[in-house]
Amino acid sequence: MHPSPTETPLLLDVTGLKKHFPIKKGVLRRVVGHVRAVDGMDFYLRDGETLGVVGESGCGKTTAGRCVIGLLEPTDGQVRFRMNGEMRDTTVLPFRERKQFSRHVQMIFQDPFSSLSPRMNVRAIVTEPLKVHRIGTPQERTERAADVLATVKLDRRVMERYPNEFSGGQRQRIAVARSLVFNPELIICDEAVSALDVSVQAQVINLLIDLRAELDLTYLFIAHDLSVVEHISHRVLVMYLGKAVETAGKRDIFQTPKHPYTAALLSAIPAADPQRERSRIHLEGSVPDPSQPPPGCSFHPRCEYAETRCREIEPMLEPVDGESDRWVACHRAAELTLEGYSRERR
Amino acid sequence: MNDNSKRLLDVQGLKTYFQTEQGTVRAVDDMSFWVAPGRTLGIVGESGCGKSITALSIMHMVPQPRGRIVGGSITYYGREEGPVEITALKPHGPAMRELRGRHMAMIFQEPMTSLTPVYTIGQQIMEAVVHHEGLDKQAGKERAVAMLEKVGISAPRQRVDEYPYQLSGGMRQRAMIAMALSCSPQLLLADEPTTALDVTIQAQIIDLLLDLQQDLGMAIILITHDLGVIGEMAERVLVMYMGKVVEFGSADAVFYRAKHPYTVGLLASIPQIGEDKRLVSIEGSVPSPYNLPRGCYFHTRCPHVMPRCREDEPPSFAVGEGHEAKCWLFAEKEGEVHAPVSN
Repeated sequence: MHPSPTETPLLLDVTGLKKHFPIKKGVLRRVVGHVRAVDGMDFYLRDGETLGVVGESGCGKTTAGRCVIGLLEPTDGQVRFRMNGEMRDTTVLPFRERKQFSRHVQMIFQDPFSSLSPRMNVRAIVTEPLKVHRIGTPQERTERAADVLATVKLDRRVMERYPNEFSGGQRQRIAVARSLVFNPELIICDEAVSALDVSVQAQVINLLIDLRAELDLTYLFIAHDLSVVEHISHRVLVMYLGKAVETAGKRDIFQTPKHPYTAALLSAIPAADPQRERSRIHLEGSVPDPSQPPPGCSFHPRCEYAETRCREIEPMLEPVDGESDRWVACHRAAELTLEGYSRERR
Repeated sequence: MNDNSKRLLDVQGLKTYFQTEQGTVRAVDDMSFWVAPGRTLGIVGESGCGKSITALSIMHMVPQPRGRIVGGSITYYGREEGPVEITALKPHGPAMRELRGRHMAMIFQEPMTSLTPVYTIGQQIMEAVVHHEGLDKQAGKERAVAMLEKVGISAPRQRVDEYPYQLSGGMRQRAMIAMALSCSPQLLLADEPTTALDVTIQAQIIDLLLDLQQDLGMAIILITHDLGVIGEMAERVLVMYMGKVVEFGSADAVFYRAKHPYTVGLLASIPQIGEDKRLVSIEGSVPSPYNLPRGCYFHTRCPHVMPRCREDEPPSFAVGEGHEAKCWLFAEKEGEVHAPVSN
């Protein structure tokens, strides 16, 4: 099921990604500091792979996704994407190729109530991207819309209806259909199922998994719900305060986490299993202010394993010995044995 | 469960309807349950199933003038003076005000909208104490500091004079819990208390509520769509669909021996960590509250639908000890349950 890591070509390769937002104060709107929303991130995606990005609110996961698709211009770093067989830095593409890139990468947002215009009918919503890119005649666009609606299991008759006539799950299907009109290679799902009720959420998760197989899609799946991420992803990246702290195949991450923050996240997952054995790691305090990240490891003020070097030297994301595709940013990763997610019952 | 004679709150045949331009919405339709002192009842269901309106009905805070309790009774047994019938009280009358805050309190999903931005945290916590216990301002503030400390807010003396915007999401939720618990209520209604929070903060708040329940011996009615949170906290679970109780039982019974097809579907819809099998979703979507199907409301989505389900609404059938499901599938096997569900 997991695409073989060595043979499958890279589709996306992000290196040193940074996005800092200026904080402006006073009548002169002078810049008094920066919110380091994303502060040095490296990750990659291979064809057909789903990378789940998890982290708590404000950790920069949405900002990272927006930098990848180009909705935000990175402060620093490279976002390289494979176009016509060649890895190209998308942050410096000429206009024409930039347009081509935007057809390869699409995004699905969290809230289908605000991501679909209430004044446009489904036909207009789904054909708009084609219109913007001046592809096809109106008839051809309508046919294409009917095709993608069929792909998400909606009847073509819905085209004359408006978003308010649909339930949350159906709206999210329309949003998925819109993202498919260009036959994209990469879809960024930013909390794409978080706003849905659980029974409907399962329908959309299944749809995304089916489409991945049918259309050879690659997903960057950004979400805060670890169970959903575990279900849909091949690999998982854990973010904390603008940085990737750990990335590995999902089995590895959930069974043998290497970073103390990952272990704390796993221990906090509420289980629909009343008799499950619980051993909760209590994190002290809250996430630091991203405009003034602490020195050294940004997790050290809340980490029970922190020692002197953690307070002084920032750990880099480094490969874990003997394991491919497994990276962690922790000075003590090698010596710590952390508990993974346990399904044991009392 | 063991001591069925002790009740704190008894809800019988509760009906709360809303009049809208499109027609009547039966937000809560003939619900019966009761809560024992110091125990936790979880109410779970998807958006629009009426779980929040159930809580607002108990607090007698149903949005006026459209919403109204049109039938049933809500009896509170926690007063020394004897039981009181909440539906008979005026929503804004002195008797109801005496109950709210002192005997029962509610915490909400979004602390920022439940705390007023123009008063300090301390002033908001004090309000209830000063009103109910007649403390002076100095003593009220001391109580506020003590409460903030109890809910695990560091530097409570400093925080007590801060405004809600100065606190983080998790701290605001703690402040709201402090406010709700300031008069040591016997019943806490927690409506999606952790939904807006991050997973690590959510875990802290769940543990806090469980600890405080141990300390103060209060009963909790936990309302959420999140089966995970229910699994962590509730002793008894009530599953709602379209304003009705479809299944009720101990947490173990509902999670491990679910009977109603809706509950079974809900449980199969949540991804389980470490299992790669395809999720089984419930087909279709929730019907419109203005145009409810005949018979069992769930029949339009039910994989086990029978002709009878399209015609007649099923009663609750016993499917185990203290476990019941409102579904015709269990009609032949077990007897009909008339007794109210209990906790």
